[in-house]
Amino acid sequence: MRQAFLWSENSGCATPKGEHVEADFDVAVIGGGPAGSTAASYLASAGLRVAVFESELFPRPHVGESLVPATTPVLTEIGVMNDIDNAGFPKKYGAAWTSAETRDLPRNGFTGLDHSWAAEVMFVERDQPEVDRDYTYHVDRAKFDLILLKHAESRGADVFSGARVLRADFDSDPKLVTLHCRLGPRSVDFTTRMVVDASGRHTVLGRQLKLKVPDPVFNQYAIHTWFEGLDRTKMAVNTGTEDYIHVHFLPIEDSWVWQIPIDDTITSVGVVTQKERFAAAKDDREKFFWDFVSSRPDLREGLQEAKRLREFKTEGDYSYAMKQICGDRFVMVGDAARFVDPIFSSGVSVALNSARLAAKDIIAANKAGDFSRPRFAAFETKLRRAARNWYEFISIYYRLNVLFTAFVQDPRYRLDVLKMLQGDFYDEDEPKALTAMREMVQEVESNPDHLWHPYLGTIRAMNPPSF
Amino acid sequence: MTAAHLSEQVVKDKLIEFIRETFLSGDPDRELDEGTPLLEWGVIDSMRIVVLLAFIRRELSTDIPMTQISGANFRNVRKIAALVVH
Repeated sequence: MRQAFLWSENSGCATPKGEHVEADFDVAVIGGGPAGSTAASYLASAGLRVAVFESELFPRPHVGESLVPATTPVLTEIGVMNDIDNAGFPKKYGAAWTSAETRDLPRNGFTGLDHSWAAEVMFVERDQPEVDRDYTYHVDRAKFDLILLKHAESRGADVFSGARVLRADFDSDPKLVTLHCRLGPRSVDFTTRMVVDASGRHTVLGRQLKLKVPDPVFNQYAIHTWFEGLDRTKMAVNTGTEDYIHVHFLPIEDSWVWQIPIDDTITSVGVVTQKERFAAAKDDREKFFWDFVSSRPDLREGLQEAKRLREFKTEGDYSYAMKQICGDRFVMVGDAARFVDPIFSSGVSVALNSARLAAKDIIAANKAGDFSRPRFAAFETKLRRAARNWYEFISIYYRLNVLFTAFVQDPRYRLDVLKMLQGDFYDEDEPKALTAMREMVQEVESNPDHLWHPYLGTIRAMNPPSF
Repeated sequence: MTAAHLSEQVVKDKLIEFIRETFLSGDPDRELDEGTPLLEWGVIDSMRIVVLLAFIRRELSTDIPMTQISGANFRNVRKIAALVVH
């Protein structure tokens, strides 16, 4: 990777004495995942001097392997779509949910009752602005993230791999930020005019500036791995949908399994549940995984015929928000700004779209020569609004997931729900299905005779945190 | 749109036929009638309600709001038919 320093005349800052102090970079991006690479691609293409500091050496594995169509406009705009199209990732045309419901159902009466249900959506059912195709992708994040990072580099960003940002010093100079980095055996300082925190769940700035707040409601936990040879046609609801993402509900409250195709033979599988359930399993990852999967005999059977390829990996400290997602000389994008829950595969889409919004404001800030917080107001407003909508959608889903399925199957709301599943949250206030779902949850909560009342989940957050 | 043009008996027959075929594997022993306690016997549950509402919307041209999904309204076929017709 390139490590050249480019100096230019017009990007320095005047000191009080009138001397010209050069920053090493206009923008330093912490983290070379999808959010960081996307921000760097936009900024470098606009002529800014950009550096990306990535603490790991790519390729490296990463969770979050299923995309939504809202990634398409961004991948296309930064010019990387061809590389993605040519990488051989499985196409994702839709999503499917399956359940084998056995909770509080009387067994007297009729014989042979099958209470399983399923739902599917196809992205093609709804046209989406700026999206030119009926599919998105499932990706091996090791490969996908490397393609994006190389792309940022090809656009002119300086990429430092194996460079961990330890701290960002905003105080010693009012116009510059000094990044203290660990590069191999050395500590190195770099100066920049502003910082984009794309450090993912490391949340480098959020932790350093004490802006990170655990989510008051969600405390989920995931354990995941890859299997080879899982017969996806057996798990599918209909023929031809075996390469959809599958969300298999477990007959355990707030718990589900993801099934994501990585290639023809490899499938990513993860269990998501409440963190305290995992604590109760006394940290035995393998037993925990199989205990949960076995609550769905069809799933257990399918997975037992397949071969596990990787160690089990876990994701804890799950859901959080930031009191601020931007400030003087910084913005946060992707998971570094917020993470709620993986249920709708929104992670990479939020990374890309937040980077796109941030880059627009940063390019304008650079033109104005002013990187103070008000310059990032458009970014902040749009991202907060989108986050509020997707947070509530996720909350309703956990509170009463039957409602989600009912809305998907109701022609009046299907496309609007699909819009949310496509990740298309950024350009409007509130999707009308969300309003209707909220009212429905309130109705079910207040009416004990409503048939969905017993299905209210324990996760309850009708009012998202105000930040 | 409502199903006022359909008589209550026709609605009952259509409901029974649909429930038999969709939820009861055809109900070979003819156990289902208009008074069968659907919820207590586990014929209808939270998800099947959704399927049933879709059928009523599609085939009987009646939109039953989701707020109406109560135990009282869906106790048996007789009750559901009354909901559809009135």
